[in-house]
Amino acid sequence: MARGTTDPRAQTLSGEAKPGVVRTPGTPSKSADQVVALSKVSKSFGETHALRACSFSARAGEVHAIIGENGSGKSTLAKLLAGVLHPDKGSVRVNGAEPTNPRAARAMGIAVVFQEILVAEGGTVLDNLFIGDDGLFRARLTPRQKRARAGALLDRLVGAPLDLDMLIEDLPLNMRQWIVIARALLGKPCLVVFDEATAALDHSSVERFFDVVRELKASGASVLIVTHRIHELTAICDRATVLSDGVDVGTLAGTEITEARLLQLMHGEAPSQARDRLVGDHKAPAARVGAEEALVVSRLLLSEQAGPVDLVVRAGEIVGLAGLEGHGQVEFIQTVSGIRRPVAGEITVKRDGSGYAVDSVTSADRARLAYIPGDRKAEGVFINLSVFENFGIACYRRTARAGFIDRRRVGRMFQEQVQALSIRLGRRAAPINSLSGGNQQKVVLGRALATEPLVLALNDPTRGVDIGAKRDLYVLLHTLAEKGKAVLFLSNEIEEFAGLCNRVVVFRSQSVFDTLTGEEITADAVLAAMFGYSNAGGLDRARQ
Amino acid sequence: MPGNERPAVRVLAEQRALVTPVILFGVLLIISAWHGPHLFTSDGLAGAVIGAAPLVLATLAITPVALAGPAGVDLSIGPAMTFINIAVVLGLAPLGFSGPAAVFVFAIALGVALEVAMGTLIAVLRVSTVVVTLAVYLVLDGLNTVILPQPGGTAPAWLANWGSASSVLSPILYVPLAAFVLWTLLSRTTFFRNVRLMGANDRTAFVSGVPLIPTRIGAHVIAGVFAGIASVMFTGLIGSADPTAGASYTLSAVTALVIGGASLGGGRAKGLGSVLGAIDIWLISYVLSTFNFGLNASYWVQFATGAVLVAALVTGGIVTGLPARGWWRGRQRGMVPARPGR
Amino acid sequence: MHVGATGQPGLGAFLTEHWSAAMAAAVLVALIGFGAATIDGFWSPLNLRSNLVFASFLGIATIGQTLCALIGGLDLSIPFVLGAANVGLVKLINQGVPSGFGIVIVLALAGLIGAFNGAVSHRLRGQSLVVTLGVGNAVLGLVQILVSSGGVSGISGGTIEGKIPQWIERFSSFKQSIGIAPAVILWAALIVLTVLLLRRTWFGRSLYALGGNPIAAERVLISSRWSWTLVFGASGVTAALTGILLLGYTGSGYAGVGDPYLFTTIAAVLIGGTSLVGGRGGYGLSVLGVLILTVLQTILSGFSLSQAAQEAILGALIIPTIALYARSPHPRLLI
Repeated sequence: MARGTTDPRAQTLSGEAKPGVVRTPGTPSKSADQVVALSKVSKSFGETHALRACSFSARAGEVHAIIGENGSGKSTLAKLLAGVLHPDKGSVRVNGAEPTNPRAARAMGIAVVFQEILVAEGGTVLDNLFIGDDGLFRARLTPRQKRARAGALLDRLVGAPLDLDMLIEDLPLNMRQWIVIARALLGKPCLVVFDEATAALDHSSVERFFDVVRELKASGASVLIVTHRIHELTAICDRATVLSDGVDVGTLAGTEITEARLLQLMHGEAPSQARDRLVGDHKAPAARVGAEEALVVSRLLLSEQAGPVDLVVRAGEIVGLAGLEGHGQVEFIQTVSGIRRPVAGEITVKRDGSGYAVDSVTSADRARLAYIPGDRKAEGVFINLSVFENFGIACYRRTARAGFIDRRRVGRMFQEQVQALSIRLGRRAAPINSLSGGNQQKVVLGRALATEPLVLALNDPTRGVDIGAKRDLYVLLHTLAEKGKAVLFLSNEIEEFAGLCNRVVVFRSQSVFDTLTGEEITADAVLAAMFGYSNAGGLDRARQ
Repeated sequence: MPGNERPAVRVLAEQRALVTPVILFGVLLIISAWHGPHLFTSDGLAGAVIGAAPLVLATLAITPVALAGPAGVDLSIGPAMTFINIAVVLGLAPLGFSGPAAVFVFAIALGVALEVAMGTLIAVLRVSTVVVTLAVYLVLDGLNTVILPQPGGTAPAWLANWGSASSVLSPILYVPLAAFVLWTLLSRTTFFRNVRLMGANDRTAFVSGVPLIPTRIGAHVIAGVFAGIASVMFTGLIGSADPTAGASYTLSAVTALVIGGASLGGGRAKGLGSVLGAIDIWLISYVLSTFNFGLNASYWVQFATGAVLVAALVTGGIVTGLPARGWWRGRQRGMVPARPGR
Repeated sequence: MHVGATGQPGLGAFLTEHWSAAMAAAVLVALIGFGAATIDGFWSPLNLRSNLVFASFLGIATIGQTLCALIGGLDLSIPFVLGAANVGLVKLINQGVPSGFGIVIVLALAGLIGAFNGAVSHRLRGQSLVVTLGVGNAVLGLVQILVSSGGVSGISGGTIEGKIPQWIERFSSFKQSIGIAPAVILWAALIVLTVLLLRRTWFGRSLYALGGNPIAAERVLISSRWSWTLVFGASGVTAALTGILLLGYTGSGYAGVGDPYLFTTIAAVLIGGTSLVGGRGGYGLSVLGVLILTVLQTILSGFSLSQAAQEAILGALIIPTIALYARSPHPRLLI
């Protein structure tokens, strides 16, 4: 750049100098216009390590993508930049200062659009646009100024005028997403983070979103886009950083950003731990010839706009479920287990020639379908109860005599499961959180197995579980399959599928996108499918 | 899940919030006109105004706390009013400060002090509003009886004969009107909007930079102001200090609040709704009094108030519901936005 | 030898896991010691007997409150249902209904009212305080209206006179000639029943599960709707039972007889160590809490502290308790 000309990235739309951006005549040096600097940041939530010594940087006037699988730490990074969370170790700096809370972050010119569409129901569109913009007692802008700015911005974003006095709850999800995006832009930020902001937008809106991103870049802001949609990004981002398992594994720039390289970074250079977790020399159980149908899902609609899902699981099969977050696989497994009601469709468990419909937790139990949650804290474990009781609570009623608990019988069942699952525990009466995560999960699993189910639906059972317990689980699932059980196995760790599952069903947009069978099941293939690259004929294989 | 309901139901629910108190008002007026036309005389109207004013103001006092959410039911209002009443009659007046300015300033200051103490606990410790206010209810209720076992004392002269006022165009109307004007002005402020938005969704407010603790405490400050004014009107109504007369205001105010369309979950409440709801409750007791129940009059009021509260809760729960972010997520229909990742 | 969860043997481990009970027992012993030392006649048989009878009244009313607290709710209708039962039974007896039959009717109605409380509270996502406040007031008002219709034998000033059968009076009497008052025996029996229910039946354990993790409870087929309905129903029954026992004690009906039982039942639950959030505690603890309260009330009365003062003090106790055990997470952790 010739001396004397101003760097376009350092200017706002109106031509003023952007605060915080040092304009260096001549070639701008990297550190001079670096806006975001994360240095060896670690953040944990209990046993979960969201970020581990992660380093990251972004410049003014660039669009920088942050890509990674579920659980790689992307959203934690966004929350750190927003001032919502503080790092346990390391430093987070934006233009040299640390965002200590959302208010400070806002004052620093940081705007974050979170994955969850955060609106205040009961407020109007105008309220939601300027929430937090006002001070505690006085608004920064007059109502007329607000309306003018909001009107102009929304017109550009949405493409049509919007009634600012409308209640936000009367708007559909994609419009709310636009409001949240507009809220971020109204503050004239110097750093904008979009965490999966396009998730709720329809196709036509996405193009407009990219226009917005280009404008932000032109105005000198630093734009971070956390996303899954690789092929959309190659169009607009300057650099892309890949996060895996809480660590930054590489940054690609310019023409280096291709789907192939991104996938390779995401999976190929993952820590060797991942390899160790593979089932390894286990071969996938061959589907028994002529095995009868155990679970039939027909024309299931998970949401109004979703495509129908059909799935048949036979006795002795292990079917894996995969998908990026929010794409329906969790809702699917919960619907199959009777926890959620679908918009339409039927779920039937078949046994000895008769069919048992599943439309509630009770009917699932009657049909001998057991659900095992992975989110122990939310759905599985009673932290106020002992180890024994966490197990027994599921059997007490069934085995009770005149209402009284049959301690001896439940004790025997408990002992059986402890041995079968190699649960390591001290005293039965100790509180459940005296056990490691893996052993807690085994207790939850054991109580489901004690009901002798025919179909098992495991919702991410290896979440937060150590390697040893995971291996035990894989062996167990094989054993159960050999005994003729039908298994649905949802997991976010794609390395687990190979060698474990007969088939893997990959979800996108609340319906089945692709099905991989047998030798096709590799981590790469599953990952590719999750991101939208299909294998021809996959859909047929789901409906056997 | 609110987002999935059709907009029509939402709009209807929003309108229904004010429709209930208005319709109830109309019905009660008609019954009054037929059975107790004394209401429409100058004397009767004055009695109505002074009779209803304490409840109207008490309901306004618990509205900001309900607005600030979540589950912001302020149970302390009855004994709090009584406490201030006793303090004014027994504490302030004997010291010689019995002029209107002194009384109002003192009552409001005391009301604010009480509410700020509660609000600080709730905001900083993040404990349940309804349990804290229940504790304060018990503390003040006991304290009131300890300080003053039997009704007694005399209210300051200018205040003492409000209870027997015969003309509507007198302070008994001006004070509530002024208070309502104050409320209207306050409700248009930026601060009030912050309270409302925080009550609607505290995560959104937090993430957008709204300071949660000052906002919540501020809501309690507003509550305290109206609690103080309510107590002055109450003192005017009874003309003395009474340790137990105020406790029933808790039930009545909460019922009035719910009738007025406030959502117990937070973020939704209108001052006009609370005022109308309180007038309705008072009208119910008036109508019941015209039926010559004699000694049973108070029982009828107690029954009616309780029944109306339950009815309002049940029907309100069906229409607007409490926020989906609640306990029972056993069965969900269709899609729910995915839980955020890490 | 008792080995604790961390592997430590002995008394220390036992105490760590039963901390609440240990604390409560220690406080009780300390209070009894203090009372014996400072109040004349503390150990007199009359004093002991009357204390036990009062404790049994409170104890029975607290059964319901404990159950409600275990699933995370509170029953504010207890004082009202208590008073309604107290007054309603007299009315029934005055109308010529045989007393035994009358008791059954009153208890059944109270159970239905409680069930309504539970069902509506559950429907409204746990708003039990406001719901029970409304229902309680409505019930008491209604019963007073019904009782006073019919002229002479009606209620006036909240009290109603009637011919209370001797056997009911004897139940709550602590006269020497009777030995241990039947009310106390009844309480003892109910203690055994309640503790057995909570510790040994599937239903009792399901309440703990529900209070600890309502979502996980639904997953293991515990019906939260039924649990709330039955628990609040039971609370109604025990409140009414207390009202009937009180009738035996005072000899005439009084609608306001239940007023003190609002704060005392909550205080007994809290002092015993049952959490208001749910899932932790039990009735054994509440019994300790009841005993502590009873002794405390004796001591405070000995120091001329009125009931009202006690209400204030115990109300104040709620706040540090929830500050320690019942805080919500900051919104930043919920995004």
